[in-house]
Order: sequence, then structure tokens, then C-alpha cells
Amino acid sequence: MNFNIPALTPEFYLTTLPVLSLCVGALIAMLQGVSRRLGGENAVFAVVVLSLAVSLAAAVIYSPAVETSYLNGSYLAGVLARFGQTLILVIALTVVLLFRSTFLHDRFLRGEITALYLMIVTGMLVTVASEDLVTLFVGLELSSIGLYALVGYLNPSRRSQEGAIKYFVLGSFAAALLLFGFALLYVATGSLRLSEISQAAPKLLDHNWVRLGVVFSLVGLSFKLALAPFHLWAPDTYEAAPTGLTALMATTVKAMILVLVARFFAGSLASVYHVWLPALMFAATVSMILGNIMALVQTSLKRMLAYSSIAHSGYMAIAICAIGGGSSSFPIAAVLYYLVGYTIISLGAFGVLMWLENQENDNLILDDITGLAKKHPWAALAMAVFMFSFAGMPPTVGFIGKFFVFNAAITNQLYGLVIIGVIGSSISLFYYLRVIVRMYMVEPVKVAVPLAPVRSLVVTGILAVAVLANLALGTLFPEATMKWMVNTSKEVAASPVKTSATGNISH
Amino acid sequence: MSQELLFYSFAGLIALCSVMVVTSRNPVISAIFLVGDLFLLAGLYASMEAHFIAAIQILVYAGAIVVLFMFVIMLLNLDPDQRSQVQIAAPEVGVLALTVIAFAVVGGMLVFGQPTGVSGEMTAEAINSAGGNTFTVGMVLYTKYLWPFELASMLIMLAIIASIVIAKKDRPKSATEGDKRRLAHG
Repeated sequence: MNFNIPALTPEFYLTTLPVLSLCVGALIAMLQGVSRRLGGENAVFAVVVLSLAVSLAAAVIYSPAVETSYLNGSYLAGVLARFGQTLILVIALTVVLLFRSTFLHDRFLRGEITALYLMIVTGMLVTVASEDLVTLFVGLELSSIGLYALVGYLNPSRRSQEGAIKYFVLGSFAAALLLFGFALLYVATGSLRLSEISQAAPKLLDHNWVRLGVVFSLVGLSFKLALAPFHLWAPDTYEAAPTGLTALMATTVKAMILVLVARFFAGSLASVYHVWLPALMFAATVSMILGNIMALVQTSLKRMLAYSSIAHSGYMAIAICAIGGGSSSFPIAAVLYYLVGYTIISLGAFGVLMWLENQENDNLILDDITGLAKKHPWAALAMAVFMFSFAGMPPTVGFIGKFFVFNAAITNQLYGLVIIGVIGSSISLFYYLRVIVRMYMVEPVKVAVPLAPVRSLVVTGILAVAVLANLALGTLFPEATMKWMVNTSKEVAASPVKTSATGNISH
Repeated sequence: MSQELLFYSFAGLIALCSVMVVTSRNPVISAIFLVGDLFLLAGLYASMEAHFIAAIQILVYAGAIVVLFMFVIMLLNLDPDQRSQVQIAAPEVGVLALTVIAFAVVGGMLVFGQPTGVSGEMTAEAINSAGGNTFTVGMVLYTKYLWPFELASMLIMLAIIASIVIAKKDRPKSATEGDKRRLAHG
């Protein structure tokens, strides 16, 4: 047998710098957790922000034009991988900044917690930049296991621990199904690399073992994406987790899984789309209907946003369904665009909630924000913009995102899904607009714990950027951004990975 | 044929032991069934000619890790009264669901037939000619799977920190307004 000794060139270290920087940061943070002198809040904050910033800079600056694979496909450097890494790092950085301005700052900024946080982000970066099923699984677990612990124990209470246990048990079950799917794919094709699996495609992909493998993988990924009928953990966990982590889960996990799904279903398994298309269409339909209807009856805002995130997963799944129809570049670009928009809106909406919350009440209901416009007009305005955007009203990014997604679906003759999507969006108008009506047109009601948010320059800045980005993407730059996304998606849409250019010396 | 027979008997016993692990009331008995589980898994590896992995499985999992489990159970020292309160919500449902899935998969295999797939490069002959199981596992870990291997060490570190964070006694928190709401409509 021929073993290739990996040549760890400077280029390899340069391209993996985003991951390595976070690993080093996590190790330092871990030491800070046991040190009295170095474990102060500011020192911990400096380390976590610095390692995320170095990582982000490395991901943005060193971006090769041609997708190159290192170590037998374990690590990919290309446009799509860099897109995923950049998006995840920006979200992670924003969440740290938001956490620092909330009542949870002293609980979050402790060495052991930030070490977990950095390792979670490491796992996500690994996952979006890999085509090797083993690495993908390790990356997914790295991000999930850390989240299980943080959800329950960042701010421990019975409520958050219940959410964490639900997430853990169901998450492990889904991980097992995903692993089983990977194993079946391996059995059928004899390879663990997505590019080789797709090369084995023409002969084998009609085989029933491949079908079973694809379906199991789809179930595992749908769980992480909170697509109905695998969504049951989402409302409880989103509500139970500290809001900052809810924001992280709702955005980064979706980003990670969608990049993975694009690689998986558009790149490698596009030729068996007749297997996964009906399953995914069913999941998308159920998510859009169930998510939107259940969101109608929620009073807790976090729970409402959780159901709305299930519905949004459904919209994104529409575009993935459209991959099967032929040209797959535009649907992937549409889903990436939607993802960027959804990220901005979610971070903004959760950011407003985080700012309003306090130690005694970290689960706001509609009554809490009734009449918000009188007391905090700017926060109310920002929230109103985000709600309009979630509902898909012009001139926001939410509208353009839905437009592209539905457009991709219509081009590929998925009329039924589009009709359900439009019905779902009109249902969603009710509960999104209800928030705005409550904030602007109803007199404040007396609540158990009055909100007393503290002014913070950082939060104001983040919210302002989110509002402006939201409007800018919705009016000025949709075309330019879409071009960029099409460019990003070419990698998976065209042919799979180029042959390894560097990284191996054959003996 | 004999290999298939071995596989199905090992697999059946593993499933049985796993069910016993989650349904036993006494945690010590659960742990002992877990040992059985891990031994049988090692047998499964051995029947696939992965002797090194089988030995490691017994040394590390059945030997070291379950002993640690036993220590934890001993140190927790649950008295019998508390133990009888440990209730698994509906073991029957779980067992039923697993049985259905297992039958679906096995039945599917019987109906669809054996995979016609290509075998991977790690066949028994290839491993023997390369210098045996131990050598091959070592080589593969440090060449082909170097990246996931290093990440797995990160994963273990993460699990350790996570368990410390979970085990740390924090000040007990009384139910806040948010908790009450969750209970009210959850």
C-alpha cells in the first residue's frame, strides 16, 4: 500500500490559519480559566476577540481562486469554504461583542466558557471546509457537543438544563443517523471523499444502499437545520438557551449546514436528486406550514423566533430542492443570499432582545415590548425593520432573498413549493406585524419585571450596521451581491474539487 | 457464511445488551452490560480482521473507560430509594422505535440484496502486505487522516472542559420571571 506522507508546507499553515488561530485561542482561554491573575474579564475578552479577529483576517486575506484540497480532501481552501468561514466568524465575533454588553457578561467572559465557545467555532470552520466524511463528522460533533454544554450551563437554571438535555438526546440520535448514512455511502462507493463518491456516481448512485445512505444523511442534516419534522428540539432549546447562544445557534449552525448541504447535494449527490428531492420537498413544505402556524400562537418572543427560524429553514430548503432541476449555480447562490440576509436579520432581532433583557427576565413576551416605541424609539425602530425584513417586505433584504429563492424554484418548475412558500409568508405577516403593532400602537402594560436596558455604544453600533446592511442589500446591492454569490457557488455547481495541487509528496 | 453468522450473532447480542444498558434500574448492572457491549463490538472488529482495533477496543473502552464509569457510580453513591425514582420515561417506545428501524434496515438489505459497491483500499490482503494491522492504522492516522485525528484530540479536550463546566457547582438560582413563563406555557 502506498502511504503519502503529508507535506506540511508554509502554504498549508497559511490556509489553515483560521482554524489554527482559534485552536491557539482556545488553549490560551483554557489556561485563563484556571488562572486568577490572567483570568479577568477583560483579559478573556481580549483573547477571544483577538483570536477571532486573526482568524477572520486570515480567512478574508488568503483566499485562493481555485479550490485546492489538502490532506486527501480533509481541508479545502476555496471560495465557498472561505465564504462559510468568513460568515461564521463575523457572526461569532458579533455575538461575543453583544454578550459583553448584556447582563451575562461576567458569566460568558470566563476562560472555560470562551474556550468552549472558540472550540465550537473551530468545529464549524472545519465543517464548512472539508469534503472528507470523517472530518465532516468530527467537525459537526465539535460544534454540537460544545453547544450542548453551553446551552445548559452558561446561565444554569432548570429551564436551560431541560433545553440542553432535549438538545443533547435528540442531537445524539441525529448524529447517529447521520453517521449511519455516511457508513452506507462508504459501503456502496468505497470512498469517504465526496468528490470520489460523486465520481463513483454513474454506476452506483442508483443502488439502493446509496439511496438509504442519502436519506439517512438528509435526516441527520435536517435535524441540525431544524427542518420539520425534525424540529422538535428547536423551540424548547432556543427558548431555554441564553439569547446570545440562541442567536449563534440560529445563524452559524444554519450557515454551516447549508454550505455542507450545497457541497453534498449540489456537488456530489446531484445525480441522485430523484432520491432526496421528494424527501426534502416534504420537509420544506411541512416546515413552512408548521413553523408559521405555530409561531402565530406564541407569546414568548424567543419561541416565536424559533418557530420562524423553522419556517425560514423551509424557505431555504425550497432553493435546495431547485438544485435538482438542472442549472444548480443559481439556486445555490439564492440560498447563500438568503442565508446572508437571514443572518443579518436574526442577529439584529436577537440583538435587540439581548439588549432589553435582564437577569430577572431573560424570556421576553409580547407584553414586555408593548409600547416600546415610547420608551426606546430607536430600539423599536430597529426591531420594526427586522420584523419587516423577516416577513419579506420590500425594500429589505428579506424581500430580495425570498424573491431569488422563489425565482430559482419557478425556473425549475417547483410551482407547488412556491405557492406554499407564498402562503406561509402571508401567514407570517400576521405575527411579525403584531410585534410592530404592539410596539407602536398600544399603550404600555404593567409587567412583572420592568425592562431597564443600559445604553451601550457597541450594541447601538451593531444594530445600526445590521439595519443599514439590511436596507442596503435590499435596495442598492442585491445584484452585486448576487453576482458574488453566483461566483461563490460555481465551485460546487460545476465540477467537484480539482486534483490536489500541493500538500502531498508521493513516495 | 460463517462470517455472516458471526456478524449477525454479535450484532444481535450488541442490540440486546444496549437495550439492557438503558432499561436496567441499577446503574452498576447498566455498566456491566456496557462492558458486554464493548466486548462484543471488539468481537465484531476481530471478525472483520481488524485485530489491532479489537485489542484497543478491549483495552481502552472495556478496560479503562468502564472502570472510570464504575468509579463515578460508586462516588455518586445513589441509595436504593433514589435509584428507584430514576425513571426512564417510556423504554418501550424507544425499544419499539429501534426495532422498527432495525427491521426496516435489515429487511431493506434482504430485499435490495448485497451491495455491489467497490471495496475500499483497506482490504485484508492489502493490510497484510503493507505490514500488518498496527502499522497500517498508525500510518493512516498520521498521513491520510492527520487532520481529523488532530481534531479528535480537540474534541476530547472540549468534552473534558464541557464536563467540568457541567459538574461545577454554581450558586443555585431561584426561578426568574423568564423561568415561570417557560413553565406556564411550556
